[in-house]
Amino acid sequence: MRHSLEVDSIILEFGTKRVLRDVYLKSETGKITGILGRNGSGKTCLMNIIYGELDINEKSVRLNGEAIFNGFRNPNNFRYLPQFSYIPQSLKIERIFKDFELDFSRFTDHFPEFKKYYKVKLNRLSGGERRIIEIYSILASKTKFCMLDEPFSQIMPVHLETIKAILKNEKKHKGIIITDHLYEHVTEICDDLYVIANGKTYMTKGLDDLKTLGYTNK
Amino acid sequence: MKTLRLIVTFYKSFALPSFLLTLICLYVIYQYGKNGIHILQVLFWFKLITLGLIFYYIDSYKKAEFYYYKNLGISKQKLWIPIFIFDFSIFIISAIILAAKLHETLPRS
Repeated sequence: MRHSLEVDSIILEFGTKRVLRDVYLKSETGKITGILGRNGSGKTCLMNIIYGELDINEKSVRLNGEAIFNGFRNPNNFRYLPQFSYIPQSLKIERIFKDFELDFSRFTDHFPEFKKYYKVKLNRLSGGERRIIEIYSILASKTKFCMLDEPFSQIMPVHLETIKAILKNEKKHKGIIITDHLYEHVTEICDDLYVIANGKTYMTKGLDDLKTLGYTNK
Repeated sequence: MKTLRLIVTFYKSFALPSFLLTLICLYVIYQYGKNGIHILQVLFWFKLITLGLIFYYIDSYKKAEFYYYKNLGISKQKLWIPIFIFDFSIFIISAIILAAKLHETLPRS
């Protein structure tokens, strides 16, 4: 079944600074939606608004056309990867996979070097390895939409290609929203690409738009 | 079962200091002996305030980890409320039982 997520009518202000004012974003099952923007443009804030973490009065978040008013997000509908480490470090990998109802052998098909870590606590892994566990737990678990905030940071190139392959596979079952400053990877995999500039979202059609909107200089 | 497992995991990260505070309260009651029952009100507020401080500290110190629980369907409220009820119940029940026992059994001074 195809699902749609639409976001608009957002006004986000910090003091006198209006961060977001004219936003429209749509995500659908089967699509990867990219969000790019300069530092401080409001990408993470937008994801937090969608996820219900940032509670503002002026917003409209609609799942399959139905507005969501409260801050709680059912994990069957939404999961969110924040840009920082979010899994309790004392948990074993085995436990994390159990909590997210994920198959560890499927994971090690993608990342065979993790086989030895099944009974190991997360804090024994390197920063990049921890990030892979975090990305996979959000990306591969059952949900309608997942939002990934800077998933490519800290990841070595060989694993980046694997993650991109998983993203392409997972989008068959869910809508994915992604933001990352490693924009070449984002533009490569996403079906729709928005740029946030001056508080507005712009749907882009090509890489030239990134330069026009002041995100890149080439 | 999964919800309970997640709540226990979260509680384990600060259960020890909270339990130690309960033990301190019980020790104070024990020291007061037969009059321990009269100090209950003070200890009630002491435990409540220290519990509040622990919650305040954990709420900011473990801010990132709340995303883990939310991603698994457990909101902050769903984490805090049962932990607060459990922790405070342990304190209040054990304090009342100890104070009552001391009041009954010890001879008048």
